[in-house]
Amino acid sequence: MSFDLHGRAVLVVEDDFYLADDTGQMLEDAGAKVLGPVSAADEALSLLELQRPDCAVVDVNLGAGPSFGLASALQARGIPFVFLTGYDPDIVPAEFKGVPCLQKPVDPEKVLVALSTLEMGVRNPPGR
Amino acid sequence: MDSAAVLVLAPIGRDGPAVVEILSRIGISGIVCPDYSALVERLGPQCLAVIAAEEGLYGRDLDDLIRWTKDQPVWSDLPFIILTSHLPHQRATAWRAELVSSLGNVTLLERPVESITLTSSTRAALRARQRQYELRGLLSELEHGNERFRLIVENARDYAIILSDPDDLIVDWLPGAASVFGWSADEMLGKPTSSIFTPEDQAHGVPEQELSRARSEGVAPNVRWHKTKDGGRVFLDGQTVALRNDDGTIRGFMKIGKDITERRRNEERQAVLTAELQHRVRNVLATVASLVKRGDATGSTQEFRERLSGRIAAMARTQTLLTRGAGEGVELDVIVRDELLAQAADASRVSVDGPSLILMPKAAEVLTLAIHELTTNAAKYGAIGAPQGNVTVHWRRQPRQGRDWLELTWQESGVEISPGRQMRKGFGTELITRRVPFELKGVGEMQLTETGLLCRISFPLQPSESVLQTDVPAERSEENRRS
Repeated sequence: MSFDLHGRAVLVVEDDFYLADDTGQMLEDAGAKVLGPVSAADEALSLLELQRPDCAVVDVNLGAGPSFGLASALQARGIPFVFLTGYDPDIVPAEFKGVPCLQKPVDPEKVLVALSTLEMGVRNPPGR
Repeated sequence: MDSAAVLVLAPIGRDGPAVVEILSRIGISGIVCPDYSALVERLGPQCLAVIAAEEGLYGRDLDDLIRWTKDQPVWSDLPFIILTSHLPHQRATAWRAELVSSLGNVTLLERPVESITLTSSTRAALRARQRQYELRGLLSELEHGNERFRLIVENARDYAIILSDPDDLIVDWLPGAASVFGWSADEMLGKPTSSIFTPEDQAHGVPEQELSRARSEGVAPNVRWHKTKDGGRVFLDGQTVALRNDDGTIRGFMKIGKDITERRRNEERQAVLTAELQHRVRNVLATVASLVKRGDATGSTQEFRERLSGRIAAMARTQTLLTRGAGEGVELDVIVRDELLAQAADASRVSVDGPSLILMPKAAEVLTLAIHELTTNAAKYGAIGAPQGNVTVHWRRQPRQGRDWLELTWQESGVEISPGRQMRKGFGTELITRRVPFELKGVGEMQLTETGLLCRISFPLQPSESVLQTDVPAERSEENRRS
């Protein structure tokens, strides 16, 4: 099964170089244009000032414990995203309930599945 | 002390001994008092009753007797049986009336007295006295109980005990409450109990919900954070109990709770640590998976396996150093020497020099792997493997743009570099030239000089950072969400 993200700009925010690089590589292989990867929330915010991604992959812990400031900023801009986390999913606050949350180590295909769900605009199916 | 007996005052003729004789027939011991003052002297708690002929009292100054009667303890009301005499009628009536009202518990028996009348009256008096003694016992028990209760309550400093009225205004603020919350009784009496709740709980109506549950169910659990006088928070594990009158109406409330702040904070700290640990373990696994993918697969399986296990071992060494204590860094000197040592480099051909410097987790991890890769490559293709090779590793701390940077140089010499030889662009190169900028916001360069490899790594030093983020403030909103 292959996923076509052709022409889509995907922001990757992940502080681990290898995971960021793997994710970027995988997205490029699926045809996406990768923004970043960046390893810190402030870098991601600066990038958002200049470019608008179609969607994003966001690590919950960017080096100083779980943080959700960037997630709020993405939500405010109406940019859909998925969480990647080494924590249990219940660490994600209620306001991000509809956001898909993938646990590390993650199967690359699952990231693509989650992103294509976002792309198809069925992010909040009823009864979820 | 005299044993329990009935005092008999009948100073004229044989009346005294006769009464004692009648009492003894029904098993009651009597003591004859020869005169009024002897009677007053013998009065006391052990005295069961007084049987007195009027003529023994009439015309005397009865102040001592009356005072004694009035000063009896609260449980005591000594029974008097007075045998009337043929006194001058007019004066006797007034005198008797006064005597009866002064002594209180008086039975008048008109003489001549049948012995059955005397014994039945005495028995009645003794039964009443017996009841008084029982009361004395109960009072004493109650007092002991109260004393015990007081001692327990006043010494239970970890337990906050607060009593309030039906409107939940504080009526009793016990020492435990003062010690747990910091406010004195004077400061809290008359205030609503809700004032010890956190502002968030007050805003959510928690105090009212608790009271209404206590009213309907008798008891409501009270397990949550409360505020203290100094603006801090204290975690109570306890309950609010509705106190009821006999008719079922609410008399007030008792709030009692144990201060378990310390335990609670430890639990929360533990939860943060566990989450961080879990996060770390998963990240490590993810990184290992990535290492496997990145291994140079052009050589033999044996080679691949050796390289991979070397990298994993280097990561494991950093983890071991970092997890010795939460928030601890690693000495750079230790990292460099450990890696060189792990690959059995000849100490005489290696020079390591630089100031003492503690690296925080991320930098320690990256540098450990970088030195590992450099050492491995030097052993295989460079200065460690070459017969005349030397490796110099030195570093310094250098201010750049208002921050301290670490500048580390790895310089190999004594290696024959064949002209036109290209540097291998493998895992190590990627690590130094790409991971260093990405994760450490620094610069990593590698180049082949005429005598061997030259590598420069520089990055800004972090003022503080911890491997397990244990300094997350304990008093975040989560507490309230969870409680």
